[in-house]
Amino acid sequence: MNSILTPPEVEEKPDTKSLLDTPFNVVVLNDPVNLMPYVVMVFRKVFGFDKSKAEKHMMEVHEQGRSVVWTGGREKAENYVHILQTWQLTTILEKND
Amino acid sequence: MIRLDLELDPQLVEFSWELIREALVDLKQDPDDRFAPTDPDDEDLAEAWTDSLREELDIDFQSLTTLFTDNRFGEETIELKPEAAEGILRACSSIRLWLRTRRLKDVTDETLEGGIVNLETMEPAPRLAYFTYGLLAYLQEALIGLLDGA
Repeated sequence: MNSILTPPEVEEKPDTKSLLDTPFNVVVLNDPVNLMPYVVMVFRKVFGFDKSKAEKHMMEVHEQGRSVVWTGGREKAENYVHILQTWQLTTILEKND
Repeated sequence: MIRLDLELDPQLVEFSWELIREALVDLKQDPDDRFAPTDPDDEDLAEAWTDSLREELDIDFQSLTTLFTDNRFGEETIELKPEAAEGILRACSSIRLWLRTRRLKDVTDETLEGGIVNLETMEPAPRLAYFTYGLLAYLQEALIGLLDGA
């Protein structure tokens, strides 16, 4: 007889609380069309960045292909993604691991 | 209100407007798939997301249409509400993206960014697309400058 005690099987459930707590990044990707001053204007308008911060993020997009422009709760992050898409910026949501 | 004052060749504006109208029809039927919802597996969210983007883009297209069909455009000063100017900016971006992927796909990014296209060697259709692409960028730059100073 096997004497090893095995722990009871526990059904794994997604940890809803930790998922809600996970911060999400709003990431703007580079595109070959949108003008630099346009991207700066959008960042200033949507996030209230000052000019130098908006330009820094715009240059990240231009030179590195992407920039994390905001990090926080999922619902608000989704809202920002939607707003940036209405401004025709290629924007995605990703978990901040 | 902001005051838009551009001098443009009316005939070239008319030719460009024909192409822009084609883009508007195409974009309304087949929206850009770059604008994906954050959770495509959630069908309700995906539908609401896409519908909302379409509705907002329709309003922006109306602002652009109003501008291009105004007889004063390119010849006299036109007063615009800032929200209409923002809608025109978004519509211009949408159409420039369409032109880039549908009508100027054989032109490299470097060539487009550097503005070193030889118009004389281009066929009429890509030449018009290139001109329209530049015209919309010119309009965007003017509007950004005006909004920045408003």
